[in-house]
Amino acid sequence: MRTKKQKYVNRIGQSVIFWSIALSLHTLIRYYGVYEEPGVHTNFDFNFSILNYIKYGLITGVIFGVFYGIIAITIEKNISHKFSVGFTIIFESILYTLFFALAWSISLRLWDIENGTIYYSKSFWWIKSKFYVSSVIYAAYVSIGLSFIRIALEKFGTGVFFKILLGKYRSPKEETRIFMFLDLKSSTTIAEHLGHYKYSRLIQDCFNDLNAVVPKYKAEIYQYVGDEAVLYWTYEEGINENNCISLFFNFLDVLEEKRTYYEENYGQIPEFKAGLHGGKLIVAEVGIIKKEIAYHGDTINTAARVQALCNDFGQKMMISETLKKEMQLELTYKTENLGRILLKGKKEEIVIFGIDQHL
Amino acid sequence: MKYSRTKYINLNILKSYLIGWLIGSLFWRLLRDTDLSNRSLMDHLDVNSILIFLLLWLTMGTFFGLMHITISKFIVGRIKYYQLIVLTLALQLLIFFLIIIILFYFLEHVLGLEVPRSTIESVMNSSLSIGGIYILTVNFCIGFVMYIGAIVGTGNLRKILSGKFYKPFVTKKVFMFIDLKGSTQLAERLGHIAYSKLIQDCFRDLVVVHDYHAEIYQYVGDEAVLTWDMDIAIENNNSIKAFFAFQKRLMDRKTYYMTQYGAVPDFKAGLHGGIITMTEIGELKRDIAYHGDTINTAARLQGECNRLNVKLLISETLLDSLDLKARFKSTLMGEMQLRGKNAPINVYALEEISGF
Repeated sequence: MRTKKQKYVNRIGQSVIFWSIALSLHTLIRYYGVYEEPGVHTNFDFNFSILNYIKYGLITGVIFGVFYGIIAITIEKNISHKFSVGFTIIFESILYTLFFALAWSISLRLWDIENGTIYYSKSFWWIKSKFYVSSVIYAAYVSIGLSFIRIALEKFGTGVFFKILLGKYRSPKEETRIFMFLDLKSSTTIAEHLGHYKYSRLIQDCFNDLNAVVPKYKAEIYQYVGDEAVLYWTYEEGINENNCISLFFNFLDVLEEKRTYYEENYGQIPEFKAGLHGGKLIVAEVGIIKKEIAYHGDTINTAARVQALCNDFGQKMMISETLKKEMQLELTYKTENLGRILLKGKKEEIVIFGIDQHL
Repeated sequence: MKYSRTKYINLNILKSYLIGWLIGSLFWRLLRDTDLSNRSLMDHLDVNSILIFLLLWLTMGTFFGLMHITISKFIVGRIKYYQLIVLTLALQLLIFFLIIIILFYFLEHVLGLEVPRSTIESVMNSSLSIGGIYILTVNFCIGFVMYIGAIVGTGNLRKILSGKFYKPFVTKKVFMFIDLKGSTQLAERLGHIAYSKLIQDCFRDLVVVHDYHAEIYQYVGDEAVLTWDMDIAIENNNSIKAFFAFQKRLMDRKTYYMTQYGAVPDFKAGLHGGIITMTEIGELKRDIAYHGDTINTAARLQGECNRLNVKLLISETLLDSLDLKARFKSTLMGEMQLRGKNAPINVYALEEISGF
């Protein structure tokens, strides 16, 4: 519950920051030095400094940012699943337009009070105002920009997104990370049993549940590869409070809680297995027309291979000894030494452990 | 019409800048003139102001587009990133001032147009500095949208925005898995940083596949996953040609790879097509996922390449729908048993006959 609240607060925060910048820029571009141009006719007093205009742009931005965030969340939660995309967009646009007028009205009423004028004190000043029409068009375009930013944030997570914008991974960098490969058990049988359409919905549901626990344990999702999800942590955050282990078992608990849902819809509860390993690896941005962050190195391969062994050892979760040594697991979890294993394509054997919850 | 690789990218960049600046120029007038002056967008559409508008739009779009192309060709990768940013900002402002001065001089003195006072005189006051900020903003937005397009995949961007994949969607697609041969040995010999640079270079060269309408779906380590809609993959043998074009591109840059890494990278690929389910996955981390045998089979075919010692393996089902003409030769390599209860499928190796 707390993470959901956190998510909404973040969302409104983003929207406030974004709209403050957008509308300050709007007033700056609109008014800066405009009176030095010929042909300008206006009722405004020319003595106002540009900062005064920007101030009211900013106020409008903050107010509208809050409205925008709340509307977006409400629509996402209550409307978008029930109605068609076209209807949602039209409905959303009408709401935004009205609340945009409200935001401007509040902020310009303040202007009137501060400057002793009466331009905006009429309730429906905006209906015939060309200024309002022009700022609605501006806001409509800018909100497309906001959805672009959101898509990018969803794709990478905030931290990585800004690093990419700053060009951090343009040349390969070495970093320490913990990787987890998470895979649906006996996926082929399930797919044959359910048919591909239903199977796809099952994966959607499982990964939505995964998405819900990921922020609590400070993990990031790197990629979905078919029915597999690849997660990572920075080394410190992964070890801290056994985050990288707890996430997996918490995810299993969530699936268990939704037992009835899964049984009704798919006739079974999905089971997952996971492999974990941590260490140094290389991070680099690859591609031109399609860009992505790629990880190269033994760490990620080892994690994948450890996961692939889960079935052979009949384990839910397996972890390399190097990573296990970094954490205190014995109190909370049942660990089992599975011995030295030579992983496919590797020269040296590594010791792996199976991990499970106490009954 | 078919363009070469660089032409294709460059034309796309230019197109983005022209569209971006059309919106940018309209916005400038919309923001600055509405309700403030008699030069407003709708009220005052005389020939002169339309001409000025068109010229400003086209010159801004073209020159900033060309600047972007030149910078990404000659400068990116040779200087530090912050230097690149400073240089780009400075160049943008310089180009902007030059365009304004030259354009208005041209209008007034060469064309002899009766330009309102709003041109050079008024542009040279505080309008100029806000204009500077404005062009930086517009160019930043254009660059940003192009970048997000590259990250999400241009085709997918539109579909995600419109919510098309919210529910699973069954369609026919062709998949190609491309993988670097001998990657373990290469990584050991080169060290991880140099190996990573090698992959960066290879995937930069992989851009040739866009000439054959491929969409790059994912990079997984040293592997890239390409997709086509079924009809596009079959038409003109696009899917096969894409692979050989990539190989040719690597061979053309042989000297570069030899000097940098002491080896020319060699890739192998598996190609298969059929029915697949496409869906959007995840709330926080959103992506498009494919589920079904088709994608697994393509991956399996790629995995078989080493054992059979071939570069490109293709399934019989897909091969049957292609018309290879004289340019490619197919050889039956045997049967492959897939996971699950499906019957084994015949697999073929494909080669390009030299001389083409």
